[in-house]
Amino acid sequence: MLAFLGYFLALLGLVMLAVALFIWRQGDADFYFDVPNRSKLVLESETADKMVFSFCLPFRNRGSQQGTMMDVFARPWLPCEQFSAAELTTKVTAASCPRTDGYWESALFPMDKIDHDVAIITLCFDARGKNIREAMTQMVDLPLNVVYQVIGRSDWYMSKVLLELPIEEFQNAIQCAGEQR
Amino acid sequence: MEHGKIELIPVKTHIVTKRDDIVDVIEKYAGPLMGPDDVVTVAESVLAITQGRYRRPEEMDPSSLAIVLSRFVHPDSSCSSPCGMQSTMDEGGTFRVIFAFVVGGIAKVFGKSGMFYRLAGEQAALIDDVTGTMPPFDKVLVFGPKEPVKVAEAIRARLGCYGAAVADVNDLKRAAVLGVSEGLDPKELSRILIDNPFGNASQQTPIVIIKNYAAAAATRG
Repeated sequence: MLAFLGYFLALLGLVMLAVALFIWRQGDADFYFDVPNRSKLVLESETADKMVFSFCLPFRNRGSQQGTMMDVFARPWLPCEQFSAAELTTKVTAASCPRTDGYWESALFPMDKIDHDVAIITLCFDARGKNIREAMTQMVDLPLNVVYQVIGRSDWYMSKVLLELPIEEFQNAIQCAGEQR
Repeated sequence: MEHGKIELIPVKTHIVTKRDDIVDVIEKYAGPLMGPDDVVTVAESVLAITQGRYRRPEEMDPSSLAIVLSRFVHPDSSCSSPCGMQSTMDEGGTFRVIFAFVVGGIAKVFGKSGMFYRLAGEQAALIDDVTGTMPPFDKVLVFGPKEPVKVAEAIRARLGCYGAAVADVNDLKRAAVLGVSEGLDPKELSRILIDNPFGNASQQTPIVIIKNYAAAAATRG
């Protein structure tokens, strides 16, 4: 009886090991945001008290399984202690499925190793009736978290990448827009 | 049936939620366009949404079994995610899903695929994973509807039309009619709807009117 139990447990252990190996080999979706290859900031529009900047951040699923990008949003770390001259709001949309409402539409991404999509990140500075050009002279380096929610073969999870938009980029974008006019 | 006389009219609605009654919605949007010879069809996922039959992945806690079993399902299946598999187990029963998994696996070895979905219960094939439905329901798993036949009868009774049906149609040339009012042939309706006249995406047209259905049926007869 004990021998039978021993064989049974050994067989069970082998099956569990085989399943674990199968899952390990199968892998999962793995989304990668290519921060080093993001585009430079561009000043999209300007009014007396508002400036809208945008930049593109490529991303792809470099995993071995297809995965769903359920949500993506950008979270600026810009406390009023550091910059209170304008209020910053953000929007993120996919270039493959562009929207203007700030809603990220869930999309399935195949396990492509090469093809990528682009997250278009928009930053809207609102000086609330005051002069936006004057407000932006007080701008500082902006740490920005891009937070994303994924469902793949494993349960859903959230992750984020942190990037920094230096003050010089804002200044250059404003200057370039001025020159183009 | 002489399909040449039939006309398919997709009907746009507002974003239907669990606060809506599907019969009221169909009466409001399709009612003015309906005649006594017409059949009205509604997308099953929209009926399920009005019945509150959807869940957010964030509200779910998939079991270890669901996590493991989901790994052995084709990646395009709604059961390929832990939440999808857990939903199938919740709806069909854990032991039934285990049985379907074992038998389906053996059948696959012998070259017969699709057994898992036949054995795991109706919901296994009806659950739409995230991205399966238009926003804001692109972030939820939508189950199959309850009592589609009863709903079809209620729609017909309210609208006074020739018939009503609940259908599951996609862009992959797959059409399944889940429930029909008395006198309608589900297979015939599947053939008519095979090109997916429903707008599951942002077209927002979850209702399709089949104009002149009865007249075309009489011509055939």
